[in-house]
Amino acid sequence: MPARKLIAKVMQSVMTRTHAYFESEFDIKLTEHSCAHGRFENMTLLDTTAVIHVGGLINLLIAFSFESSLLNVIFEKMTEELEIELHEIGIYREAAASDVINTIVGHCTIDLLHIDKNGVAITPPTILDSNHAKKASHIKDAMFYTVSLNTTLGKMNISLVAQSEMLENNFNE
Amino acid sequence: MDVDILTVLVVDDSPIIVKKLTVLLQTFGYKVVQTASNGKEAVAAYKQHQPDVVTMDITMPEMDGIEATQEIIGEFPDAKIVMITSHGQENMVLDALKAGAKGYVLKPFQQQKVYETIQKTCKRKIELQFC
Repeated sequence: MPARKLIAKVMQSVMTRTHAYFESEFDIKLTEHSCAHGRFENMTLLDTTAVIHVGGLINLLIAFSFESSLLNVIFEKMTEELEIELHEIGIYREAAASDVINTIVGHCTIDLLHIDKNGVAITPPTILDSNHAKKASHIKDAMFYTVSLNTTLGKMNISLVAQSEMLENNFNE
Repeated sequence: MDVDILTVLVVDDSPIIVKKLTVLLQTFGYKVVQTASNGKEAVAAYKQHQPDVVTMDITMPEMDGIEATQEIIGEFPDAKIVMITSHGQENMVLDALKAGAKGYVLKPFQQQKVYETIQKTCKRKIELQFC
């Protein structure tokens, strides 16, 4: 599959699953605000970012970046029936971000199976810190493609990070 | 076997899912004997407690849920393991069943589905015991 088509398929799957998940789980409606692309070091990160590496033929990073106001609401809804100690809140907020991306990308693997018949492998989610940022920058000339989403509760960005030829082809073909 | 006092090992790398499942399983009347956040911990915890049922995530650090299931079933062929995961790929379901899992629940899980899957798994155990 040409790189352009592959990137489009992955983003389409992620967006469809994200809209459905936010509406069914949190009753939050997302509206697509803008798109951006460029070199990885120029990618805009919001307050908390969770990433998953999709392996095999697809081979890219998917990042979900949340504004604190939106993540706070997600965290509250996910843990509303649970007892969370004050000192655990930071860990559970990050876990909420990780659970969102893990569930959505896990569901996307169903859509993406036809791209990689051997199965689409995904890593456990991690919260992006400077080490991960450095690792991603080692993807050969890493570039990003971001869709920014608005809600009444705050913003989130969904980004794909991949080798430059994959993403450049996507925009230049 | 009294299903009201089923013992359960909960395995997931998400502390939210672990806590949610623990609360849910307790409302069913089950006893969560331990929780684990990766496959390696799960294998060790299974050896220690040999619970009636394991709920197992697939994508985890250190050792994934499929490998942990294979290890547990390799040593304890009667182990009852239910996968609770966001992975919906058909081949992943088949891999889990081949590894020895007895049930599969897709996240975000519905309480009723978790209950029914565990009950079904345990009924199989009862039937086998009386055969």
